[in-house]
Amino acid sequence: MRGMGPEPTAESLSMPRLPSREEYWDYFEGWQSGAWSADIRSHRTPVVKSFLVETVRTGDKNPTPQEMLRQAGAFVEPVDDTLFRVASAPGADPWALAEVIDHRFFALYTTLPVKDVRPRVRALVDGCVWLDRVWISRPVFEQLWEHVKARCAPHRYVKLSFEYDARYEVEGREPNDGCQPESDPDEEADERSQDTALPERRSARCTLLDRLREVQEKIDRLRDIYRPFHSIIQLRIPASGRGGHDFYFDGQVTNRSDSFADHRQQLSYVLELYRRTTEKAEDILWTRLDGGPEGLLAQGAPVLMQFAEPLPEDVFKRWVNSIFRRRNNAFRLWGHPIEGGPDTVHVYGIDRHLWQRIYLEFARGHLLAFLPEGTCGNTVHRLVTNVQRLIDPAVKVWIGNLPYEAVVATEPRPGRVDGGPRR
Amino acid sequence: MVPVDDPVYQLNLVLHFLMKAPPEAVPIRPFLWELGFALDSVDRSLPLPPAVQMVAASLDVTNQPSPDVLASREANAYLIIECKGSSFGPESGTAGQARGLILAAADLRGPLAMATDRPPPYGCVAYVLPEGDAERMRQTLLRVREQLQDLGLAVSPVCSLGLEVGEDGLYVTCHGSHELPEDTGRKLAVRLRVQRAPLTRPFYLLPWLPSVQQRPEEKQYCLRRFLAAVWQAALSIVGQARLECWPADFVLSLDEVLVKATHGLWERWRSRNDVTSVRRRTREFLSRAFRKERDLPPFEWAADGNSITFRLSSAEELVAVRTCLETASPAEQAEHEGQDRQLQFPFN
Repeated sequence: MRGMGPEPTAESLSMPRLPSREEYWDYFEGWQSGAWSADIRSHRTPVVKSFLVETVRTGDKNPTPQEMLRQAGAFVEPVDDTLFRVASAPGADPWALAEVIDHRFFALYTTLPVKDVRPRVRALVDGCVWLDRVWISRPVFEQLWEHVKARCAPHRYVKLSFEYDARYEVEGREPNDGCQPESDPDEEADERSQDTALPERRSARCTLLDRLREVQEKIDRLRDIYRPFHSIIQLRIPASGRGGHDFYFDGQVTNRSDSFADHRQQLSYVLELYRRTTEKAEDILWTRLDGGPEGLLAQGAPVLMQFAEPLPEDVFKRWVNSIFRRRNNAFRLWGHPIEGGPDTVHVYGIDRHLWQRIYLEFARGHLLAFLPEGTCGNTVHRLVTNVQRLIDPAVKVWIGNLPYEAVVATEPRPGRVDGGPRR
Repeated sequence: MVPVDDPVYQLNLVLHFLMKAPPEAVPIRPFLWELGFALDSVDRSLPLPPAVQMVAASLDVTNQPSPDVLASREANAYLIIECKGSSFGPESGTAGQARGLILAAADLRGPLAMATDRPPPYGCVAYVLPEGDAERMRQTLLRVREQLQDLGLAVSPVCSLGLEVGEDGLYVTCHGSHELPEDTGRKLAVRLRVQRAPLTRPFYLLPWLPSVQQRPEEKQYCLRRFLAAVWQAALSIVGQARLECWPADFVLSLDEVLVKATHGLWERWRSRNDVTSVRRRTREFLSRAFRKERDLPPFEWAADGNSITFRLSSAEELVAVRTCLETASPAEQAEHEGQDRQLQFPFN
C-alpha cells in the first residue's frame, strides 16, 4: 500500500495537509491507503490543475519564490526545499502546492475546482510585482503542435481551441487581466433583461477534438478560410499513457491523463521551451543604453507586431483608450499616451510586472515595443497573446529582424531541468 | 508633417535607421542597418591625439569632438554622424567641431582605444540635415577638409545625408556617396524612401538633448516627452522599492531618476547650464504628483534640491506613493506651465 493520504476526490475545496512530497505525488496519482485494494471502480483520481508562474530572469537581490508568494498575501509552509503548501490563512488547509521548477519558474498544483482557484491565482499574480503568468502565444503553441505531430501516433486524440474576440469593436467591459473568463460573457449577457439591446461584435470560439490525423489534415484549410483559426488558445498534448494534458494560453495546464508524473514531465518540457524562447528574445531585444565616460553604448532591437490589415480608426482608439484609462487592464501596461503623428501614439510605459520600463508605439497597422534591459521577455509573450486574441488573430511578430517562429523553433534538449529534485 | 530640420528628431530618426528590424515591415526603414551598420554609441568622445592637436592648433578645431551617433560595421568601418538643423560655412564657429570629427575619423584607433598595430579602420563623417542644405553642407565639409590637408594632416571621407518630405513619404539622399565604401556608396547613390506617408515621428528613445538649438515648439515637444520619461523612471524606481521594516525612510533621488530617464547620459550633462532647469522641472513635476489630494492613506514627504524623502510607516503608504505617481500626468505639468497644447486624450 502506498501513502497514508485521504481518499482523493475529483473536486475538493481544499487540499490535504500531507507531510511529504512523495505523499502529495501519490495523492495526485490517485493512490490512497487502504482503498487501492478495495473496489477500484470507486477510485477517483483528482483532476490536477497546474498554473505556471514566471518570476524574473536574474538578480541576486530578488526574493525567493516563497517570499514572492508571501508578498502576494499567501501563507506559505514548506514541505521540502522546493515544495510549499499555499494557504489563505495561517494554519489553514492549503488550496495549492507551489513547486519551484527553476530560478525563473514555479508551478502551482491544485485539485480545487477551476472556478474557485482561478480567482486565487489571479489575486496572487496581481498582488505581487514579481509574478506573471506564463503566456503561451500562438508561435509557441505552433511549436508544441509540431512536437505533437512528430511524437504522437495519428490515432491519438488531440484538442485545439481557438479564440478571437474583437472586443474593441464596441464599447464594453474589458477583461481585467486578459485571462480566461470565469464564465461565458455571452451567457452572462443572456441573464440580463431580454429588452436590453446588446452590442454586437465579431467573436469566435471553437474547439476541435479529434484524432491527430484528422486535425492535421484540416487545420491549414480552416486557417485559409477563417482567420480566427490562427489564434490557438489551448492545446491538448497526448499523454505518454492515456488521455492528455491541456495547456492554456494563460499558463493553466489541466491533467487529463492517468499519470501525474507524466504531467510534470510535460510541464518541464514546455517550460524549458518557453524559458529558452524568452531568454533568446531578451538577448535580441534588450535595449542596453548604458551611459558612461565613452558616451551611450547601445544595442538592442524592437519587437514588431504587424497586423494583417490596418485597424479601423474607432477600434484603434478604443483599444488604446482601454489600456491607458484603466490601470488594471488586460495588457498589464500603464503610461501616458503622446501623439506621434496621424493615428500613432507613443508611450513611455510601465509594465506592471516588475514595474519595468517599456517603450511603445501604437499605430493602426502595428504595435512596436522596445524593452530596456531587465524588462522581462515574458512581456512579449503577454503582448502577443493578447494581441492575437483581442486585436488580430493573424498578427505577424518579429523579434528584431527574426520572425517570432524562428526564435521559438528549437526543440528543448532532453535532460535535467535546472533546479528541483527529480522524481 | 515631421520636423526634418530639428536635430533631436534627426537623431532619433538615425537611431531607427540603425535598428535591427525587418525593413519591409517596420515603419521606418533601417537602411543603415541594411548596409551592415549597427549603433555603437551616442555622444561618444573621440579625443584627438596630442600630435594632431598641435599641428591643427592654428585652426579652430574641437580637440575632443563628440558626434551625435557613431555607427560601426564589424569594427572595420565607421560612420561618424552629426545632426544639424541647417548647414554652416567654413568660417562658422561650428566648423571647429567638423574639423575635429574629420581628424578623428581619419584614424579612429586612438579615439576608440584600438590596437595600434592594425591599420586604421575606415571612418566617414556624415552630416544629417534637410535636403535643401545638404549639398551646401558637403561643400563646407570639403573646404574644411582641404584646410586640414594643407597642414599635412590625415583626413577622412565626408558626405551629407539630406532628409526630404515627398508626396509619398520621407526620403534620404546621400551627397558624396562616392566617398563611401564601394558597396555602400553604390546603394546610396540613389534617393531612398525611408518612410511611407503618412509620416509619423520615430519613437524618441532620446527625447531631450541639452544645448541643442530647437524651435520653441520642438523644444516644448521634447520636454513633454522628457517629462514622460522622467515619470516612467520615477515610477519604475518606486514600484521596485523593497521596504520590509517599518517605519522606513525612502529616498527618491532626482539624479537617479534623471540617470534612468536619460539612459545614463545625465552624468555627462550635469555640468551644462540648462540641466539646472531640467532638474527643477523634474522636482516640481514629482512634487506636484505627491501634493495632489487623493483618497489615499496620507504619508509624510519632503523635497529638497536633490531628492524627495518619504517617511513611511506601512506598506499601504508605499502603495499610496506609487499610486500618486501612477496617476500623475506629464500633460498636466505642461498644462500647468501653460505653454503646451494638451494632447486630445482619451481619443474622442
